[in-house]
Amino acid sequence: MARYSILKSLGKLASLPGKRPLSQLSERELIQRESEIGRQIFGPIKKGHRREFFNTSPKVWIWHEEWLDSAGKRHQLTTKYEIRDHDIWKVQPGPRYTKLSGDELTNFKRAVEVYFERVMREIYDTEHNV
Amino acid sequence: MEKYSSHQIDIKQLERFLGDAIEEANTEVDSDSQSNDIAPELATERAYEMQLVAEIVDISEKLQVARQRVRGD
Repeated sequence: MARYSILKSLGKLASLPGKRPLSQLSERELIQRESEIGRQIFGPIKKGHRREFFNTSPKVWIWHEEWLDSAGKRHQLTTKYEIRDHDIWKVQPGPRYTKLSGDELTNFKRAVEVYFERVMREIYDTEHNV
Repeated sequence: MEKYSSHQIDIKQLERFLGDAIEEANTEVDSDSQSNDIAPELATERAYEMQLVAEIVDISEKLQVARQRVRGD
């Protein structure tokens, strides 16, 4: 059993070149790894774009997008999804705030589900069905 | 693997950046929450949305637990 466990651990390290064991990572570094998955679940990212999507706490999800316009100027937009009581509020610079409902809420829930399923499987090595 | 040396996710900065917006959102939420009259035909839809939010909260909490577990917290 112990030998199997060691081999399994070595296999994980081999599949993650240059990465430290999860136990040595800070919470922020774990979130960064999660965001590497989060940025993928909304489809391809155009050249010159950067996208992040991650969860920071039981009440907060963040979407961050950066892109270059035709003049080469960089733009960015950060959207914070804050869970408050029985609602989710989308907060953007301005400030602009919108309560998620209807299709937008359904789509957000689906994105969270996919994020969770992939993060648990690919980072935390745990199968979870939601 | 993408390096983050020039593109670190500064969560604290993001929180500060949106802090004022959240404060204003709080005010709106408080005033809005005083309107508790929901038309019967909307009750089912509202219940469904509350269920979705509850499931999102559950997932978010499980993520926190997973992080704490791997770090031995």
